Amino acid sequence: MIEKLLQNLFDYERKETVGEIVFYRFFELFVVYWALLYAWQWGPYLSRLKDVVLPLGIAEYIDITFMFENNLGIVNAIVMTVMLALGFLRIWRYGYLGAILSFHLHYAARYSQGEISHGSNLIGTTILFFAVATLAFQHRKEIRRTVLGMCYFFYGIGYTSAALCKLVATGPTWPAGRHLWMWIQERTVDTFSLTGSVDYNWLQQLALDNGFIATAILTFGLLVELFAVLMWFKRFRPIIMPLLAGMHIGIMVVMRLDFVSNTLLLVFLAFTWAALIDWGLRRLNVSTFDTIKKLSLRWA
Amino acid sequence: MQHYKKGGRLIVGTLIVYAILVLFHLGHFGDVWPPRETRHELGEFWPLSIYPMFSRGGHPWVRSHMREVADVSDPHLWQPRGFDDLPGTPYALGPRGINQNDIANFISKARTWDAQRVAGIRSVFEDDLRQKNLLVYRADGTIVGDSVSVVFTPFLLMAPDTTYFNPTLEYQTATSASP
Repeated sequence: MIEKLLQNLFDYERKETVGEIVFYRFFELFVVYWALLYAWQWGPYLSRLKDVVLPLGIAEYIDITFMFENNLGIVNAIVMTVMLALGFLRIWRYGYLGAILSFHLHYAARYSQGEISHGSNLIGTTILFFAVATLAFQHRKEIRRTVLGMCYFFYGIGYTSAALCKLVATGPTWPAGRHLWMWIQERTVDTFSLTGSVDYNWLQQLALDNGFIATAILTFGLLVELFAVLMWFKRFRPIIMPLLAGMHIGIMVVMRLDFVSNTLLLVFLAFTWAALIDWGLRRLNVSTFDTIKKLSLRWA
Repeated sequence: MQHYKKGGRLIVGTLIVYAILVLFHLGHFGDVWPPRETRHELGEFWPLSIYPMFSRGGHPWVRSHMREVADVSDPHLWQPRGFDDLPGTPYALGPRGINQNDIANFISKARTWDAQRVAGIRSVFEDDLRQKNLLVYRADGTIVGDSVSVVFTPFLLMAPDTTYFNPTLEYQTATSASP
């Protein structure tokens, strides 16, 4: 059973195609892009902060206020950028390790104001896996397979854990429609505070008008999360991962909370995009194919 | 086979570190476990998490809302209100690049309101506070029968030269503070 699971996750012995290498580099670029986005969104914001309301992570052990009211947020964003570049361009083996450490510091400083944000968690864990796999393996193929396997394993655990938290903290009545009404109103106050006006979109109105539909929406979300560990197995990935992406889109419409990077990561890993790239490459002329192959191996 | 062993060990090792970190930083898991008085203060260990968001169905919530008001001496200013009868004009956070969660959490999670905390929240609105009076509401949401009740209670009034607390509420510090 464990062997089968590990084979589903890593599949080390299968020959690697050019399409897989190209796909992985796009995947890696996507993750690095989002990490940079967080780095540069949070960095300048830190200079506006003064006080810690909620210490998270490393901030529970050190006084994180040294990052506030100065340019250290921007300095740390620069450090993150350099580390990510060193990792992505294969210049320094410890690049991604440096990136995840400075990323953690960045998060602990930015989210010291009371909110526990989960929007950046999957991007953060993926950078962590880039670091761990790069340090554990020498060859690029094994590194790539390890990163993807760890993503499937820990993303699955994360979503299923979210469902278990709901069942433990609330119990089987968690999907009751009135609970969704509470969250819709909570988000409406937030939107009111952000924009100065109150409005409900069509799906929110539908859920508020009909308790059965509100219950159905929450039941779908709970079941999809609960079965997320199925992504450990290849055959279920094209089913469970798009369903999870669909759940995120539902959350975006009903709760007005966007988890764009999470949704796109799920779409990235749900399907065998590499096979599609290989199919496309086979239709190119020989010299173009050779150029892409050389480039992909050079920048693998 | 060697690679699978190594990959398996990496997963187990990461899982152990993951479990230890989230177990010892498990402050946000509903009110179930660990007991509030024993839990390590509030948190997870980013990027590792048990993802407890929205785990407490139907639980009352606290958010915030801000208004720009003209007259700080109006005695009716401190009355709780509903969506439709809030005084003044909305002070929209979005266009000013201020994060709504930060303000809501300041209001709901800050335990003491000493001079430093007041200075902390004022620093976010520094530019506008030179000429505006900003009233911060605490919004409480609860289920009442088959609907959701939202009550806006004035919490903090920030004027250019001073900060007022709601005289009808109790705070863990003095009832007024200078900026």
